[in-house]
Amino acid sequence: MTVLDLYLLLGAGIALAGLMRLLLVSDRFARLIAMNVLGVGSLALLLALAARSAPVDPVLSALVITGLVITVAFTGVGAVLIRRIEGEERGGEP
Amino acid sequence: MLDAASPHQTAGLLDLVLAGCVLVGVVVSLFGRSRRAQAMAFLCLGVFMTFVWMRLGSVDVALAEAGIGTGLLSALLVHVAAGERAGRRGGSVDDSTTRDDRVMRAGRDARGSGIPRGDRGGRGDHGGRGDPGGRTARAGRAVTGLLAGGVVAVTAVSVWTGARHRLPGWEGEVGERLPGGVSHEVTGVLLDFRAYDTLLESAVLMVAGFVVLALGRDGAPATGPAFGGGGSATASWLVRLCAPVLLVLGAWLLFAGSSSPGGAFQSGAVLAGLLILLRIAGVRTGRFDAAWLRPLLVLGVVVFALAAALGPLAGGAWLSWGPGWAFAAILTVETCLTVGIAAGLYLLYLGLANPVTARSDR
Repeated sequence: MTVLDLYLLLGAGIALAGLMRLLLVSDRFARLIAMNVLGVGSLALLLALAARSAPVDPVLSALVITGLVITVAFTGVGAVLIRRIEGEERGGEP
Repeated sequence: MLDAASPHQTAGLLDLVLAGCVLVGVVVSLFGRSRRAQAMAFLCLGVFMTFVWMRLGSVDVALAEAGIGTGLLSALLVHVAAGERAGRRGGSVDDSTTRDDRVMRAGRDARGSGIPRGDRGGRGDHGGRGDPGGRTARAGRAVTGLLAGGVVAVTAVSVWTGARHRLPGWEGEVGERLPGGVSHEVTGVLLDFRAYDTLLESAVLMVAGFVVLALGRDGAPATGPAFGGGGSATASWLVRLCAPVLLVLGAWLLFAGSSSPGGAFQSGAVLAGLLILLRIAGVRTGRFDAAWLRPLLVLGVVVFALAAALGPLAGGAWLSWGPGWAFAAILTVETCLTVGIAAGLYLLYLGLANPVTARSDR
């Protein structure tokens, strides 16, 4: 098994595990983590594909950096929403 | 230090150990018992992924992962996980609240431990919401799961088996379109070849900042004391000592981006991390937060859009840089983007502090 095969397989495995968990779990925080794991897996796939050419493909690398920024943006909004919803739930119950 | 591997050599012990570490990180962050365990495992996963990116030969992505992925993302997640406990402790003054909390915690643990909702028979007895669906919902869920699983498995396997045979066809074009003055390919791609993407991406971060502001109390970022009441004196001293170093590191990453790995996103992440550390250490940043964060948040996108309009004025296309002023334009845009990204990332963190502050004020 070559290095490329290993990391492609790893990326696919991570993405599958993350997606499975995202679909099955109902805890909000666990869902947010699962979305992030799914993102990590897809980025690993992308970068493993970028590493096929001798200097790493700059277009795919740039795409991965874009993906990281989008990930932190949606995670931040998700985390704030979780905080808000659970704060309301805690305060709202008599 | 990890050296980049040739992708076609056989995977060695290092790769296998690294892959094993990543898998352990994934499993614990997905199936950890508590939110804290999940958040910490995700932090470790980020560190391992940084090594994977370096092993695959992309220092740019490794830097971005270390700054944005591991640093900021985990700061957000750990904050939610840890604040959960602090908030619960704060609310447990009254006995009935404690009981409710215990019930909620039991429900959350059941949800968190991977038991599908339909199999949790006893939850209704605790006064929780009833099971929303019966057999239909369960069948629908199974069909959806099977469909999604099938699609993803087919896609992933086809990528894994078929992708190596075809290299992307944009190699020549990228070389032709790289702007003058920027010799590092990734920066060139981000700010010229795919500049439109980068513009929209920074706009996404800006909108995330708007959402956080809108969800906050009075539409303002939290300006109260930092979460946890500040660290110890030693930590505070260390942060104050390191702050100038981090500032220089951030600026260096920004300017290094034109010729070597680095750039606006990595630099912005370091600067946002610096602001977060200062806040945790108890440095008073309230006035800066209140007066400057909002203008700085929009600065990057506004300057980028203005610079994009320079192309049509000079007779070229939207978002194209003339050869004479490409370097100046890219440097200006990068600097403003860095400031905007740092402000956006810091705002996301501040937004997390706000709801708790609002709750504990009562």
